[in-house]
Amino acid sequence: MADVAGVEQRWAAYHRWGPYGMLAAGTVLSAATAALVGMSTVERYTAVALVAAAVVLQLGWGWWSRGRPPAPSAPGACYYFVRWALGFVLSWCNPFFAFYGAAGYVGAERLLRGRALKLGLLATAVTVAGSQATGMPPRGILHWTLFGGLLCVHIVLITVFGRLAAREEERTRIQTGTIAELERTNAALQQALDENAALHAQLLVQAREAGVADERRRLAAEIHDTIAQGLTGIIAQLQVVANTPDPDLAREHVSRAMDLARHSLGEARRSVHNLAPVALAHDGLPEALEKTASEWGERTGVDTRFTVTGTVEQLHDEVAATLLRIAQEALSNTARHAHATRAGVTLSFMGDEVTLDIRDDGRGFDRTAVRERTSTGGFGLPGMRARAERIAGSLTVESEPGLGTAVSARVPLVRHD
Amino acid sequence: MTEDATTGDAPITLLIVDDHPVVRDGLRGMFESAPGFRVLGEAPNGVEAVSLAAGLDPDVILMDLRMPGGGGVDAIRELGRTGARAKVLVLTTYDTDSDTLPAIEAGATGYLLKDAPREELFTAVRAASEGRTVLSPAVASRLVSAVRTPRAPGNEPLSAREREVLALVAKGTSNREIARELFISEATVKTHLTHLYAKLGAKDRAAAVAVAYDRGILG
Repeated sequence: MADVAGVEQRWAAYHRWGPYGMLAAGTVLSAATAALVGMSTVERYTAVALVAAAVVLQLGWGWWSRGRPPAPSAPGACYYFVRWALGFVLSWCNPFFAFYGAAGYVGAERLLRGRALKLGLLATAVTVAGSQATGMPPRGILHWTLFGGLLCVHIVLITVFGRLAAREEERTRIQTGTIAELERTNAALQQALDENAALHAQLLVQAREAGVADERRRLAAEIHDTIAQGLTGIIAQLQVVANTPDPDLAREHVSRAMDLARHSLGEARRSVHNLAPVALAHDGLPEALEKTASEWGERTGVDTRFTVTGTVEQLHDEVAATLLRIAQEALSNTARHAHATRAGVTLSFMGDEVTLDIRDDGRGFDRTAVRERTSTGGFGLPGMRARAERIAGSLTVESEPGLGTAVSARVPLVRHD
Repeated sequence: MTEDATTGDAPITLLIVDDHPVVRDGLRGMFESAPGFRVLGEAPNGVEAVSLAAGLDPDVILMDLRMPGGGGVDAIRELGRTGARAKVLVLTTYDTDSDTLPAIEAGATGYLLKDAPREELFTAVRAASEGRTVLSPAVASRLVSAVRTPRAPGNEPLSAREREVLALVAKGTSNREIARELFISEATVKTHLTHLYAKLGAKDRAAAVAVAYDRGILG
């Protein structure tokens, strides 16, 4: 689009200043050849007057057409034919004025249309052909023949170039149209995308709401089946206690109420099934660790390997969750501090215990320095240690500056129940 | 600072934090009926717990986690920030990871389920006041019930990793080099060795290698 506009601008400048240049060229050449061509005194004065008239015409046209779109109009046609007349008479005086006469070839379609355009181009061809046939009027049969031949050539050329120009213009028009169409299509596409995104968001909201509703129904059913039943039972037992004077009987029913309450609480806990982290919801610990390690490796670009050794056993949820969290924390430390190129996560099942090792080949650290620097011991190690200790395990960290870091958790193997 | 509690000269002082008056009442009754404990006060939320703890200076705080007007995790963090002496034991209804881990990370000593039997609760409070680790109840009960008798030596086959470790030991490789080779910690290498020795009935590296050659495990 910018290109088209630029071309258009250059053409406008040419139409504005071109005729001046052609008039100047014609005038200079005619003045130089006045004697050679054999211009009479009358012809010389006429030429001077007409050149002045041509300048006035160009100035006037320039002033009138400023700020108007370049389209055929009555004043435009008037300007064209007056210019033609001046060019014709000037060429009659001296053929070199045909330079000015040829101005009619350029931009005629901006001033004329239809039959006027053809007439204008033909008239211009007469001026130019006449001048080329050594000046007007033709004298003798040879000149007339030459003039006629040249005129025919001009007409053929005008026709051919006119067709080409028309085709070019058509192409430009189509191109511009295509660009506009593309822009419209783009806009429509964008709108469609926006609508699609809105629909998608709406769908998500609906799905979530449906999920929430389902979950609510499920919970309501669970509460009815477990907690409400349990509470009813407890109330019944306690009512007996409230109404009996027999302490043994009372103790028996309190004990029953207590059992019921514990049972109900256990059921309620099972209903709230968010025991395990998401990563462990579908996978066992080895699979979850493998995924964690490979995702971490992809994210950080560190060559990461997961190894599991010994006989794999299904671990208790809490043990699995604790080890997974320790692995995540240790890897996140490695990503932040180690500048490692290689990392290894190793889960080792050893009969009655399990160890988890996270080792890297990074820059390591001086453990005493870290302890001095931060009150918490740094790098979330106390948090990891607390987690391991909570399940009767221990956590060790081995590191030396430049020699990498190994975090190792060792916990009792508590099987899943 | 916990000497008094361990020697039994002075009772362990407690602050109970829970939004349910019934639960507070129950806990208070339970601890006051037992010797060696004294309940200094109660708070219905974390914010009040922090300001009460500053004035009462209890040994142990029993803390609920989800309370309107100030949750437990924030309170634990705040207590840690103000340098409170008290150990915090979290009391929770659900033993879910999502509830308790943040509390442990914030500085709680351990957690207990609200329906834990009295004795378990007392033991945990005593342990906390002495600065000992309080085990996760879900795991602790299973650890206690699991019979961890040493297996008969020499009967169990070595795992692939144990054979790997043993082969390296036979070559005279140090623990440190084995750790580097297998890209694990030295601690885990030592654990592997402990299990190896038990399985082979050996008491050191040389014996383990000798037994392994005898049985054709190596070479």
